Amino acid sequence: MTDEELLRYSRQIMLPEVDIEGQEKICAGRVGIIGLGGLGAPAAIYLASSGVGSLVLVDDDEVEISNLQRQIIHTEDSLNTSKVASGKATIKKLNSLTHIDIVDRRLKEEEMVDLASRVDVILDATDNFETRYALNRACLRAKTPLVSGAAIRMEGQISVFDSRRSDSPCYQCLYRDGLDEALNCAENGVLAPMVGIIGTMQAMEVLKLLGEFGDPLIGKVIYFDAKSMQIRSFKLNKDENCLACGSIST
Amino acid sequence: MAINVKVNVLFFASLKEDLGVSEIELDVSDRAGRSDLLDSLTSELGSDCVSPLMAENVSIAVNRSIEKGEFVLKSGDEIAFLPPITGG
Repeated sequence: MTDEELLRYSRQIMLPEVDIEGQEKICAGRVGIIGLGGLGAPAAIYLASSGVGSLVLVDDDEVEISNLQRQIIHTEDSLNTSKVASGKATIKKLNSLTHIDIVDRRLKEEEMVDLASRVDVILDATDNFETRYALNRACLRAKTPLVSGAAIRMEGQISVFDSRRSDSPCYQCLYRDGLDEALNCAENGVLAPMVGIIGTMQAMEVLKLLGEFGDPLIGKVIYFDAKSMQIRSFKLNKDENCLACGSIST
Repeated sequence: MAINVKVNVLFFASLKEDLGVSEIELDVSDRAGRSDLLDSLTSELGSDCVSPLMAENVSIAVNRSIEKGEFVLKSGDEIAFLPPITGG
């Protein structure tokens, strides 16, 4: 690391769990962020500011006025432009050392596998079950850890699925296939900080995976109820009959 | 005659709003399983009220462990119903 980087990241390098070694791993880290909305926006900002070396931002949407309430990587100047271009512009101002690749279209499943095999972690910040199931399958095939977050109204959830470990459950161990009515923020509403809290927690889990410190949320699901400020952690076991990972086990 | 035991049932996030209650103490038969639990809840709260708990992808956790298969309840168990969350 250069002197500038040592100074820039000094406040996290001084954490004994991180140290220079952990920061170097973070700086060498490559992360795919799928969805640059409410969850992806804060996650991308924190990952870039923390020094993650390379981010791939994937989203096929453009910035709309109703996004600005919570998708804090976008500004009024980026209205009607692509979310990934807007995100890249913000991150470049924040940390020019982070390399950014952008994909302004929806990935097919084979492309998700290809992306997952080229990064160290995938951060799922999408808003529907169909894409979440596809990303989960892609991460299983590429053996890439998946940091999954979701938020709606005043509630959220986060977990980490790490297919490098044979005992790790996957997303489909939690939600079996077949659910066609996903709840999204456009129809159900969301209080702005809710996606900020979960997206930021996702960034934290990514840093732990990249830096190899702490205990990532593997085999655990956190439920967050902001209305009562209740946070509960639940154990999640691998489902041996899981349609996605059951047959891949051992 | 079947012995009844008491368990504590929590409804999380939107399910709390749907049912209008966050937590209830419930009598269930000793060694009750998944369907016995839902039957006892229906008797206690009514079938309309309980229908959100039957929705696809609602998870049930027993003593803070999400159980996708069958389970057996005993006195003092804590059961949590967790709604699916997908937004982002």
